[in-house]
Amino acid sequence: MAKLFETYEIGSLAKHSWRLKGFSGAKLTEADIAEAETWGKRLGLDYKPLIKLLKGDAPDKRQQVVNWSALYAVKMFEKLGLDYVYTGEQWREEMYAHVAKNVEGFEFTGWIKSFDYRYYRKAAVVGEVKYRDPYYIDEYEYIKPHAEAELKVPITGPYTMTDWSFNEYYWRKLGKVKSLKERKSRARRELMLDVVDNALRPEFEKLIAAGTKWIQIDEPALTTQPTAEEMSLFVEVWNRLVAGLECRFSLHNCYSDYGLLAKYAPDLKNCDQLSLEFANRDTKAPGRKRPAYDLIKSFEDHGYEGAYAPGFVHVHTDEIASPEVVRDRILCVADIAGAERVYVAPDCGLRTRTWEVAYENLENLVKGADLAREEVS
Amino acid sequence: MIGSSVSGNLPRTQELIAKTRAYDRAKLSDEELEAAYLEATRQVIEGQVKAGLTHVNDGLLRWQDLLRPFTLGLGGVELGPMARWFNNNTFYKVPIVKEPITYKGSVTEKLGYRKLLPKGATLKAVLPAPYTFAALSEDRHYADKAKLHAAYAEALNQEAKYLEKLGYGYIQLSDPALVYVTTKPAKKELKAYGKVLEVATAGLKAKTCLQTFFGDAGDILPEALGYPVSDLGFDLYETAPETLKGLKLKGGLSLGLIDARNSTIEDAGEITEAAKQILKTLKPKDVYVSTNCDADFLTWEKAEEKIKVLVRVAENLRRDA
Repeated sequence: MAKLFETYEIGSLAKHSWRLKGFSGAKLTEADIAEAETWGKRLGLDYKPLIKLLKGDAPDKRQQVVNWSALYAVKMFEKLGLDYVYTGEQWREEMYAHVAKNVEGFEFTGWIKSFDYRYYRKAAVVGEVKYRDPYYIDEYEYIKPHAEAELKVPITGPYTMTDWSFNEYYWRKLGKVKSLKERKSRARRELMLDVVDNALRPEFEKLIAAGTKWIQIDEPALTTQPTAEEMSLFVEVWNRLVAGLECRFSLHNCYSDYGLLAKYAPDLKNCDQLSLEFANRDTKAPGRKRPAYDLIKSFEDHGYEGAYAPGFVHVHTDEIASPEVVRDRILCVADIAGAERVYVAPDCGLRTRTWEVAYENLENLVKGADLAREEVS
Repeated sequence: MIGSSVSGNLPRTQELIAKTRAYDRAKLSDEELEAAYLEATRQVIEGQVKAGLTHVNDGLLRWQDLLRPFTLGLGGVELGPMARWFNNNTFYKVPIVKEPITYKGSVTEKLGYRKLLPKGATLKAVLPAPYTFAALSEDRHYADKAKLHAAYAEALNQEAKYLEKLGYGYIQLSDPALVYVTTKPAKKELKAYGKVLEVATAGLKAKTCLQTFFGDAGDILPEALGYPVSDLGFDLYETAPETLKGLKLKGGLSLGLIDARNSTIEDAGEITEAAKQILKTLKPKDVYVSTNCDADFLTWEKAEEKIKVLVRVAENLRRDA
């Protein structure tokens, strides 16, 4: 019988100060070095070459620092006992910027307000989206021989890349369309399809040829435009993105309108599972009756047949859910969808938490899965 | 008249953004931050004046979101959790109405830079309309939408009157929730909203505009034609032009023809043509060429370029009128 309640992380981890400074060329302090030593020891790594690297001036120092950082992430996940692991996105500046920087057609315009004094770098699509150089494959090829657990590769999806970018090129291309509303909508669709065909599929093919068995498509922007037209567009691009590719695909979406997504999820082809943020909506009270997770029923009612990885730990707080609460959350979803369709993951990437908090969070996630397994076996 | 204006705020300059980020990390003092705001506000005002906008504002650079001055400044309202700002990758903090709403004095004056605004141009104030404020709030007190609308409209009216006294000649009530797909009211509620706007605009001599964006204005027509405001404003990137064909407008029309959610710099000729097509079957008292919404989705550099296009379109329309 296959293992029940397999565990994984979603993608991002915070970057240690030695990773940031080592990459940018800033001067490292003793505290930065000590952090590299502390975690190296904790993870059972021979970290001395890293310390030498950080203190030295090797010509390929930047890349080596990134490699080490990815290795630390993988080894942390493995030490915790996660079934599927990856690099904590240590290779990437950030999920959106990483793609925008590496694909032809995108150009950064500057910082745009997200809220209050928080901003994000937003790119404009100023030319046809074209594949330039590999941008996920090097990370995969580096980490593959170092990982003992199975790998799950998170990538940023076409809907999010489109929604988070200005669309100049495709807008201009459609200059003959008189209605501004129609022009905007058509330009959006054309951009999204080119991201699929010219940016993502070529990289997917390389990843799969290199041995990738599981690609997680991250679409945090999904349901931002809550209309039937937009959701149908998403289904169209998803199906185009995965068509004919032999790989396991899952969708990650968070802080979103799941009632809306539930209507369209059954139309997503080759979507092995949905990983969705849920713990954020739940209480910490014990017990298997948890109304926050009732929305899973909506996916069931609409006929979605894949598996679920509803978030079982919250990622935007330092408060750690106990293994017992995690267990109860897992069992609650198992009661709705059946234990064999439940995977165990956090709500989202843990990049906003310290490594210490991320560690404790994932530790309880794994313990909670163990407790749930005991309960149903 | 054929006027030109931005339908809301302006973006912080990249220099100001860098300073606010430093402030957020406790690397900048209050005084240094204030100096940065002053400098950036001067810059965005100068950008509007130099371009030749007929209606200008101070950019609302200190406002953390459209609702925030009211959320923090009104009695009975508290700051709530963060939520998505319609269909954008930006967020606002939800106002939580815990007690009766009371007006305790101007909520926007301290955040504004009235003294930096020029004397020649019409000053434009931008305030959240009652429907949007109520739709985006969490009401723990009134438990009745109509009562919440009325209470907020009363406070809004006092703020608008205060700004009028300060010299603002044009008051825009921003009402995206009124047309947005998941927040818009049922058709039958539209007529009653006119009464709420009556409270909000009572006694004002300044011109007023109910500016809608992020949704199709067709959903509030024809009811909105009877609303007690001088002008109506529509987002032409969400509203099909045929929706506006032959509308019996009583007042003016603010045409959201410059897309503040895309960095493409529009072609003034193309936009002029689009405006002419729309105006072919309409007889508005006044026409304003505008952005379709707030401009803080852009960088200041892009917004400034768009303002120049906006002015050229207004000039073209005047020339060909």
